[in-house]
Amino acid sequence: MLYFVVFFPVVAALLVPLMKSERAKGLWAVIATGATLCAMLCTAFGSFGSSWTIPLLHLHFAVDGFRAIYGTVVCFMWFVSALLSPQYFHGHHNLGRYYFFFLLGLSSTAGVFLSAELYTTFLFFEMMSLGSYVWVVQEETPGAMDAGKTYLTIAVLGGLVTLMGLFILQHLTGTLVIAELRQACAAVENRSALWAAAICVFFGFAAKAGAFPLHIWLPKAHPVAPAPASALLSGVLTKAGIFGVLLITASLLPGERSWGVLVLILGAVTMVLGAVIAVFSNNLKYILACSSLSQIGFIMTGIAMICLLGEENALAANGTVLYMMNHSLVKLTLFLFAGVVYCNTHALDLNDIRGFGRGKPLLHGLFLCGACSLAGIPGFCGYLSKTLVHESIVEYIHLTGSAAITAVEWLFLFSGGLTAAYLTKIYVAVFWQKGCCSGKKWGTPLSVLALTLAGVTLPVIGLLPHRLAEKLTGLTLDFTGGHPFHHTVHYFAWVNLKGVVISLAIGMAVYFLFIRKVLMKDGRYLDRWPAWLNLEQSVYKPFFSVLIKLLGVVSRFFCDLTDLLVLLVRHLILQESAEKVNRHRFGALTRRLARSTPEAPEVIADRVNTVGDTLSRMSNSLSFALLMTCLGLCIVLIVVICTVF
Amino acid sequence: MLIAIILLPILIGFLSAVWKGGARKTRWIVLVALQAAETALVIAAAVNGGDYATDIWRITESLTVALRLDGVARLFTVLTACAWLVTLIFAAEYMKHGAHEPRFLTFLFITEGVLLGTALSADFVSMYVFYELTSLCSMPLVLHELTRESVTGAVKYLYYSIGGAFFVLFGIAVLYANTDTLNFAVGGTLTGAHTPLVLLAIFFVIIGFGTKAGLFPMHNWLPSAHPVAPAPASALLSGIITKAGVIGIIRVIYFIAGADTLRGTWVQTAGLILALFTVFMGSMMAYGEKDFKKRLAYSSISQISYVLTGLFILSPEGLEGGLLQVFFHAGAKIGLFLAAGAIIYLTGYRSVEDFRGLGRRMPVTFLALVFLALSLVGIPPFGGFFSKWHIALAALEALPGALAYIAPAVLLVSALLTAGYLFTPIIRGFFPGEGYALGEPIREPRAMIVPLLFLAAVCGLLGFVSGPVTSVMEAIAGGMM
Repeated sequence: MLYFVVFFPVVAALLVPLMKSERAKGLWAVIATGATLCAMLCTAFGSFGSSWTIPLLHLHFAVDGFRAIYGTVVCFMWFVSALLSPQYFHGHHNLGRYYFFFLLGLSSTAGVFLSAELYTTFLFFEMMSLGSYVWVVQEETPGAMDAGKTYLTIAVLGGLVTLMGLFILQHLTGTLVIAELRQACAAVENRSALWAAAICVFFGFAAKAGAFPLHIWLPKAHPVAPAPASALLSGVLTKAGIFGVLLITASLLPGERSWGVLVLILGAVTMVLGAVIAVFSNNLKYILACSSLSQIGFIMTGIAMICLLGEENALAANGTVLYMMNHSLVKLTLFLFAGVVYCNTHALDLNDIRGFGRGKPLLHGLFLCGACSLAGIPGFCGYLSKTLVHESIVEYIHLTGSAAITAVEWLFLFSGGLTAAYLTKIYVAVFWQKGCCSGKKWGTPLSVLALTLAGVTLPVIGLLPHRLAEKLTGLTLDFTGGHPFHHTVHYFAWVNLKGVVISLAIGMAVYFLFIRKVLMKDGRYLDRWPAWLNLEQSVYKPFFSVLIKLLGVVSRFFCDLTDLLVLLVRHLILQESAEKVNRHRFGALTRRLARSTPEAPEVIADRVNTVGDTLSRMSNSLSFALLMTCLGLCIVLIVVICTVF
Repeated sequence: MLIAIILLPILIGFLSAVWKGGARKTRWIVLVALQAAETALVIAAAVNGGDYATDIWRITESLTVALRLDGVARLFTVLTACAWLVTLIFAAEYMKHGAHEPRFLTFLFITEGVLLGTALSADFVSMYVFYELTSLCSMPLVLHELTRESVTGAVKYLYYSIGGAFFVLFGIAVLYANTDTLNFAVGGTLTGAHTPLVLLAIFFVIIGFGTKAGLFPMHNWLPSAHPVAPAPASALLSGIITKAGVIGIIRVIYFIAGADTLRGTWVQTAGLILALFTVFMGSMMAYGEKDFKKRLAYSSISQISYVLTGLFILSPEGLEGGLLQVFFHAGAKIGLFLAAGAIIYLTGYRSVEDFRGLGRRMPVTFLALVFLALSLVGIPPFGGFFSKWHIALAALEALPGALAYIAPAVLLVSALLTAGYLFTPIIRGFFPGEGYALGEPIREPRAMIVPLLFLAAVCGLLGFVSGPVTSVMEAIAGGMM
């Protein structure tokens, strides 16, 4: 069944061109992803704990707790996203291409999460990166093309740096099988080389996850992709990056304090940065993309805690995995919501979609499911994960008493507050403000089903913390290197609720004091983010364009160096004689020829001159020098042979 | 049998020069059939196992002209024969509109014969002769169009080749003085002699053969000569004929000098640095080039130096990586040049900036282009990935000091640039931008599509199921050290 999960979508993708109508393609995608989801569930329940090897292709797969859960999440998300696609793409062009790469993406992403060896991971990771490029540029608008360029550059760069890391890792440990890596890495003596390997591998995965400073592609690419694809880019593909980061933390450098600190710093920066940009922006999908950035920061903070807390990391390990699942499902809900908004209004700017949600109770409820979960309101999945990660930070403060970690805790709460603030911004704009759009109908039955499936899962997990959430995350501890809980967590006790209350208080303060006062005027949202504050435009692009130009000039110089030397030598040694002009247009030869043939003397003179010209040019030119060289070569050859014998 | 392998193409060449009557189609069918027979012959000889050797002429006791079919020769002959067959099918369509078809074919076939001779030679003297003949016979292919650029390109080609030949010649003379024989032998014939002069001679031979392989500093003929030839000829020049230089270097390193003699000497370091620099420089130049064929020529400079990097590592795995790169680069580069040829033939566009929307108009060509480009960049599971994998790992294993890390890093930077210069035209072809008015779809002739798809499939499938190819290369590399 596992082979079915990984390879059936490829087969299904190859069949897409056979479907002629738009409707057939959409339905085929739904059927194919549905079948894959069923197969994944069968694999997860039927062959839990087994592994597969395909010798000829060098592929290794395994199904353990984490892989089974995330494989199911991946298939579920694809299925739900496929459900919305028919409505979203109604009347669009190039659908064959979209569905082809949509299904291919399922295969490669499932491959990443099910892989048991880093080579397999890398293979599917590259397929996923390159295939999803097509999602980003699907619309072919100038913005999409530009975002696609950034996306592809970072993807290829990340892939190659990761490959460098794999080279070093293979060299150091002699194995890339994930299950063996923990022991093999512990035995490595050359720690600095191991660190180099880890950093290189991290580079590519962090780039895909969208960690600072490699996040530049994320806020550009997610908004321009079609909504069903954005949901996957945001919800799953970033998690493939997190998969790698988890893997390094758990297998390559387990318990290394400096590693934890590094991930913590990057995570904290990403967390705050994403949230701040999200508060400033007015485009629905852009806000969601920046929110993803911020949430990835939260997840990385959790991963750092897994590493730093060592034996005590139960809270962090469970919290991080739950956070990943929560974010996947929330972003699925919210991006599909954005898709619905776009289908109906063909706009994404908050100013243009004000009041779209009025009078649509189901949509209202589903949006609230997603938003509350993201903001961490008790009763939703997000509350559990946020609480667990927050408590793990508190625990670390208790253990070390370090002021820096306290600062991180406050950044964590502050970012949580900003999350609430930008979600309130969207919520108020779409559901409460009065605007242009009205009407009760917002989606086809399939789309309604899609959003409902995505949204309802969140409170279900959130309301069953002990019976469902902890059971699920408990299965993943093997993979994340976590330890089981020592005592039960009382999620709804005041100690744990306190964090959320502080966060929400900050959020409301930001919303009412900053967003409403500074970023809004007469009910309209203003763009107040300074344009120059853009890492890509103001740092990366100038730097790399100068670098490329410089290297280009240097290469050009060395490339032509030999030619230059040859020309210089030729100029110095073989001075060309001035060309002689043949003045005898009617020389003796011409006259004699003219007498013997009936042609006009001019014609013959011309011909003779041509021959003469050619000869003189030959003797002046390089080719003559060459012939002489040839002659010289022959003489040398004869001399050599004579001496030899 | 080995003589027949060499003589058959030359005879076909003379036949195509003489036979001008009759329908073009009949002539081409016969030629392709003859070439197919030649390919079958080569494959039969290669698969048949055993180490054939044929003495042709004993000049002295120690100096013979002989042919021998060993592992390396097997790889190169099979590669050459298959490449010629594929390209010939493509040429049947491509050369339709060009003049002087018989002349082109004659030299094409003669080049094949002498190139096979280069691969099959069992000693330095005969290899040198065949190698020189390869240069001379392939020059008319560059010259073929007789435009100003092609004449310049051909002259430059000849000029550089002869320059390189002098380097080789010097090396041969010195080496012959220091060994008893110029016959190739596994492990080298240079017994213990480690003098500076011998090392210098080996270095000169490497530079000399490096001319054909596009090794800095003797590389600059490549971007002038390859793009101006007709597409089938450029494909073979870039994909196969440049490999004559690789054969030369393999023979001198592993069969004359011996890997053990060279390991740790300045020759190895210098060779590696030159190769790595060439890898980087070629990619960088290709990145800045607009003309697609010229871009591919620069790319060849870079990619063949991957092979040389693998060879200079002087370990079995490095050699294996180098041979894999020979194989996959040949497949990818021939395919890319043929695709470039198809684009020129069908649309007349040479600059990558004109490729906008072409992917939609000629989908099969561009689809093949995608596969070939992915292989050349080295994205798994395409073929090119495996060669880079082995070369990089070998570098980490076998090289001392910082070079162990610099070498893989350079390879990857170059791969990044390769992605930069190959993906952009493809992206422009498939994603012309919103609202771009596409032209009419272009009908792609079958004789062009079949070779392209075949090569794309080779790069894709043999990469995906890389086990057999890798083990063949491993066996060949193992037999050499």
